[in-house]
Amino acid sequence: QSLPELKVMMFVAEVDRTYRASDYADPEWAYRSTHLLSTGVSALINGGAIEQEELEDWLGLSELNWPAYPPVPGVIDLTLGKQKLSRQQDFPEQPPAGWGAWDLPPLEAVRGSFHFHSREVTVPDGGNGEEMSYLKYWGTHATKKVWVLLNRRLTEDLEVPFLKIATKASTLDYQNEGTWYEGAINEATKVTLGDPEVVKLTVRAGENVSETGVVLDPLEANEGTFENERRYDVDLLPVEVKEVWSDQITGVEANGFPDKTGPNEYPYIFMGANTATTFKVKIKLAAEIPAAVRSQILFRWASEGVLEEFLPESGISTFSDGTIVQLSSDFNINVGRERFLVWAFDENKNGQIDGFESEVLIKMQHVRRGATTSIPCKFIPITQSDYEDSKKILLDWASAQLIQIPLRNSARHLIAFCKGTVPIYSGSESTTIKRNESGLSHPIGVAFRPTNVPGISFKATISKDHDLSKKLIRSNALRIWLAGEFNSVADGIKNDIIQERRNGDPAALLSYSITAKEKSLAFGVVDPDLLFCLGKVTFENPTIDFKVDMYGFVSEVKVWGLANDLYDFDREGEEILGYPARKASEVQAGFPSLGVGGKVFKTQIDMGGGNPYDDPNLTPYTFFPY
Amino acid sequence: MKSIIKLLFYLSLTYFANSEAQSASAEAFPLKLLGEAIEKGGLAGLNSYLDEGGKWPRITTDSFATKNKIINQIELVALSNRLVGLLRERAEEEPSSEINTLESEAMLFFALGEKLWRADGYRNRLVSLLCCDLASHRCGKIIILSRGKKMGPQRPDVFTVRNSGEMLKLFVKMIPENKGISESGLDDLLADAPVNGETWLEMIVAIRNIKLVESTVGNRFNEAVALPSSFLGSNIFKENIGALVFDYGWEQVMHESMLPALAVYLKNGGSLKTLLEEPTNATKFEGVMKNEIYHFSMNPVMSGIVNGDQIAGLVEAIQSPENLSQRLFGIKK
Repeated sequence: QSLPELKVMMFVAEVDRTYRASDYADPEWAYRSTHLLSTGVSALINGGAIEQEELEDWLGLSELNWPAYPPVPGVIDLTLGKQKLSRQQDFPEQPPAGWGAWDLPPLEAVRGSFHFHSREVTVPDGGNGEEMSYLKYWGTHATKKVWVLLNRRLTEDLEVPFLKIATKASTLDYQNEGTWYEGAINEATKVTLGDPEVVKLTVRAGENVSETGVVLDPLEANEGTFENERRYDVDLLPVEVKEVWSDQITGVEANGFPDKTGPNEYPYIFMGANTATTFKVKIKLAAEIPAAVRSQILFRWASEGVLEEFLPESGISTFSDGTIVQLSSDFNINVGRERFLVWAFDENKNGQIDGFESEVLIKMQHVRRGATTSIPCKFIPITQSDYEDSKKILLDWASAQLIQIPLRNSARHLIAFCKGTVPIYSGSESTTIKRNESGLSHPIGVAFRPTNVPGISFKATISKDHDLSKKLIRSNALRIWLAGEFNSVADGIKNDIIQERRNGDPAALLSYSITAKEKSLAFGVVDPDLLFCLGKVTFENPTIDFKVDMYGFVSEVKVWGLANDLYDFDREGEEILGYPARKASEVQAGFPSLGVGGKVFKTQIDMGGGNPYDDPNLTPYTFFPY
Repeated sequence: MKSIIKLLFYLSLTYFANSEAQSASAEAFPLKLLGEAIEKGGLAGLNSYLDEGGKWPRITTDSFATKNKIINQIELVALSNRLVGLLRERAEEEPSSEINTLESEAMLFFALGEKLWRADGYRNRLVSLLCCDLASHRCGKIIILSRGKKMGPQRPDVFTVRNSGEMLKLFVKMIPENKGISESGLDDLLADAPVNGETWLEMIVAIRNIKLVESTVGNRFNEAVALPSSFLGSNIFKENIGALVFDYGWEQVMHESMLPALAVYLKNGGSLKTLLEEPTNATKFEGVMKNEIYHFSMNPVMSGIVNGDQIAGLVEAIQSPENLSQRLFGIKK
């Protein structure tokens, strides 16, 4: 059976000062870690990020099992992310025996910038599923504090990439009782950064311990047993990607992870390059990277090798501040090759990822059709040559269709799409397209702007006399749709006919006007020009006027309203057009950075009261089919 | 008796001598003669040569030729290309304004097309369709000049397609010439379970959905089993059975639907100017056609009816060598 989804909550706390040691045998750091955890939870609750009940529910606990010393409400000052803590103020209770005196100087200027992260990990079937009866966490100590709260024991390892930036082991020897560092740590005695290295903080299945530390159990703390925690001696800085997005249009965050790959929720970012040789993305990190190590945090593209390994390629990643990174390619992108995002710590400071600097594949949460998965950050960049080649193929194809086969409306739309113009023989109006516009398979082909406002495009307006409108009215799909609408009112109309027959006039006609219930229509292969030109349409104010004779046959049918479509090419669509449809998606990806062609536009068709049964060979719908 | 024995002896010697000569020159001699016929007499010269008993060789795809050890494929392709070059030149020429001249030209194209079709092979058949298409456009010109009263010469039976099932038969028959598709086993699958559909387009959809070992036909042969994305003239240089079948069906639509529709339109007083200047305005087209049959079917290629917009496209190609050449061979570089 499936186990409940594992939830992990991570707090990252920052403190201005690294540590104030006590000259007592009080494991101060443990106390403060505990304290900060409490503070972190409080900060979340007080800051409105999460309700206590919600947190308890989220953690799967009947009652939140607070760490050893819960904060006193109202005492903690989190204003502007600053707080001053006083043990006497915060914790008036008497500590357990062995905790030392309470007259320590207060911890100064704890910066309460508690970051909240959550991860959801699906544990596969077969795990032990044992629920944790109490809250476990671990903490590291110094400029960054990290706790991970699990709502139950893991049945498989969970790895979180971190950057280890300092070690205290040389300064504070927790391994040996009685060798505590005495005296406050101040600027003069502040721990200096050691040699940075990349570590993976691993929560072991069934244990909840990290590779670099041991469990700090608040329940044990309550009982005053602190053997294990003294071995904690590393600082871990999480290099966690919070967001990544295409920077195809400079400054516009419209196409990215998480959950911004378009309404179809494809698990990759499809994008045009910025120039003939480069494509760019921006990366937002969950926590700030200290300036001292930014130049050594390298983000790069990687291709998947034949052995499913990832091969980093050359590029440039630049921190614009502590959390935003721009990555630009510096290699031959080639045709439509998939790229993945990796990062590594540049130990030898040569600006590239060497073999020994093992890279970490960046994964993100991705939601598709309600299901959340963790997937690698995959990109499919379209180069200038891809764009130009695809455009040429399409224009050749469309030119042939204009004369060769009856797909002339499809051809006109396609030519306009490739050239960035309005389709010939149609009118146009200015319009806008949203990032999540219905029918937009990827958020590409629209010149979105930096703010969240929609991008500007145009609407091709088709009059009722236009061939496209006539085709729509006479299509097989529309007659099927119409039959559905007639069926929906059939019972009432049948009764009306029966009533009218009693008047004895066999030539009598009943008149109706109904508003259509079904507002969308998809075309199939039996309506090829409509399929390739429109795919499907949504109706605006669709009404149907018709008359019914005493035999139940409809006549003088008039369909009114507008049919709307978004001209977009789905790269993943199974298209009878085959190759050209995929090529069209590449042209769309290239707009606007690679050229004016590929702009997504709307089409609006006036149905104008056309009669779907105009063809004398067609048998009109009847309310009495047998 | 002696004379009979002598005669038999003479006949047998003649037979063996001829056999030997034919065997020795089976590859080179006919090609040389065919080449000379083209050089000296152009398309008409070639047609006359073939009428007088000359044979046109089977010309297929390069991969099929390699598989079947056809050693003179390069020469065969060169010969075919020479013919395609002449057809292209004709397409780029301004058509005559004389109905008689147009009729004889159309007859020549049809006759050559029929012979090439019967000679078999992927390449021959696509060139054959090129001939048929050129002939159709000359017929169209005759229709325009006669205001729909004359239709031009009769199209040979080899170009007649009655339904989509016949197109499927051609598709399966030609599959061995496409290495990729033939090796996928699709022909066996189609032989065991033929697909259904009123039109070829519907059949393509059904074929695309057939599951092969690793994926569907649509995924594996995305370009080949789809609406053709290139011009008839350029398909000659590829191996695309789907395109051949589609072009074959389209010639049927051209003759059975579009040309007759144009003729009816003109006979009813329809204006070419209106057709060309307002091609999307179907109302006027139907206004002219409504007392006649305007719903010429697009079967067996696709469902739908011929409308004014499509007729306009045909007229543009009939009247403009540039448009015709573009339709057949693509935009000239």
